[in-house]
Amino acid sequence: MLLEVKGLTKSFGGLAAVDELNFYVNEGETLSIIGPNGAGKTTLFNLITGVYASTRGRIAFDGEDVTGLKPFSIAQKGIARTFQTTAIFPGKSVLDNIISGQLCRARSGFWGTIFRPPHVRQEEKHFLDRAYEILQFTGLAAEAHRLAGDITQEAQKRLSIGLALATGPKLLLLDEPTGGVNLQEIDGLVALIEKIRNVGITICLIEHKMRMVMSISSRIIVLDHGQKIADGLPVEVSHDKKVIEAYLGAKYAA
Amino acid sequence: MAIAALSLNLILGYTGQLSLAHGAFYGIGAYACGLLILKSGLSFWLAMPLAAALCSICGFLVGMPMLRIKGAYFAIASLCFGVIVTIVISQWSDLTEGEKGLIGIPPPDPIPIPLIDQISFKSLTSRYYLILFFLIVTIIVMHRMAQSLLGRKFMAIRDNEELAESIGINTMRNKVLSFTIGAFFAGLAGALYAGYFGFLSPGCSDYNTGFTFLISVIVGGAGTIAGPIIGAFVMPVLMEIMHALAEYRMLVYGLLLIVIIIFLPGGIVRGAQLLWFWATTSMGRRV
Repeated sequence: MLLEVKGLTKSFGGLAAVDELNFYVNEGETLSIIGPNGAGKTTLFNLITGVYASTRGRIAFDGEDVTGLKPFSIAQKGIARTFQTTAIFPGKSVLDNIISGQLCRARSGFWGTIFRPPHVRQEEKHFLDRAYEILQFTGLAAEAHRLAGDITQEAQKRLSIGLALATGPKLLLLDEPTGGVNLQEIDGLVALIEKIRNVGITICLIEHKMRMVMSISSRIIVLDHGQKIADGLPVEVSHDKKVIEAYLGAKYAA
Repeated sequence: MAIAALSLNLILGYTGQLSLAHGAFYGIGAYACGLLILKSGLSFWLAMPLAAALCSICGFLVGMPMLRIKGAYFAIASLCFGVIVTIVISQWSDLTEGEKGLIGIPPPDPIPIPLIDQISFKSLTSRYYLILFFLIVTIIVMHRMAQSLLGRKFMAIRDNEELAESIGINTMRNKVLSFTIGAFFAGLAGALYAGYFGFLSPGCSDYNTGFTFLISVIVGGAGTIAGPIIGAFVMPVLMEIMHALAEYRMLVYGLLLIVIIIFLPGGIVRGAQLLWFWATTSMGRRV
């Protein structure tokens, strides 16, 4: 088990956005988290990555308790994420964005910065090489020197995934990776996600596009009102009575 | 002044934190240096690094709680710190001589050079070169920082703090580091000021000083190395020229600032870059 969530609860005032949630993610799988708007999916990501502090419950990653850690240390431990609103550094070049993603692995400190001993130069060189690899991997090599703010929405989505990959994660959390791009472009992004899975990175994604979710996921969790209402293989979940109820209303569930 | 502007630029231009406390660090550095020389009898060469170190310690201690606050609230908190420091300096008469100021700080001791002679700092010109030397050192350090992975961390925090945190950058630690380094160089600048003029009054630490640095950074171009230096040289010259306008001076000055901020948000340096870009592309089109 790579990630284990136990009794996780987050209340905003009196409302429990995530309510006594239990689930796990196995190494190497692609888990989709689906559910109607306001089901608590993004809140769940924010809890796992330490953006919000949980009200109750524990989160274990790679056999280690990571509950209550700050976002940067979660990222250093190997959980990377993307945001629903594509988050990149628009004023920097595509290449610089990817280099930024690797900074959390940087060893050189203040004195290394001033005196630039060989190991610091080597580290910079290493980061640059690795950045080109990631650009190649995400299909952005041609855009390397363009401003990140100037590339297409779809390329920005790729870049935000590349930025997360640059941190060297074991688990990648994708928050609506295909939100706001057109149908043809979705296939390209799906191919990228599959490629990431094939290099052995565990993926956990939030999505609304059912066709894509059904084809890409090895397992699906359904959330509604902060609670898990289904957990299983894509076929099982798509026929689950509670799931249909949550999506379409009780009268369709018969 | 250029040194102080450069160090503020590290905090504002690269790390994105609008600090109005920079005058205070400048004042602490100046007073610490002056007092160590006058009251403890230390040589300038010992007092200067001690003063700068004291400033970085202050920067660290103040930065720890203050940098938790974000945006405009941080600016207000830093302004408060600046005001407090000025009040302390002007009221703590037993130590700082209060409003009378510190008088008669001796110039830096000469540096003996074997075989030739010695470098003396009796004249203003020689002390000017001393400051120039430290300015060059500061430029080198700032340039290295800006180019380095550390500088990239600072800029990531400036561009999007939430994203920076999510890609594993310890934003708090790096903000405090930037602030501490900034305070160090502000202190160094203050200490040099004390050694240059030999006289200090509490006014040198007040928010006006901080604003002068801030304006130099903004007019010159925040987030560039050349910007704050250009700003720091242009602003005093501008003020001198405008002396002729007598009481209308501040009015024109204010208007000028507004014009620069609206039409050249990136300062003189970015403006020049844009002009250059425009010139080269339009030339290219004609050919």
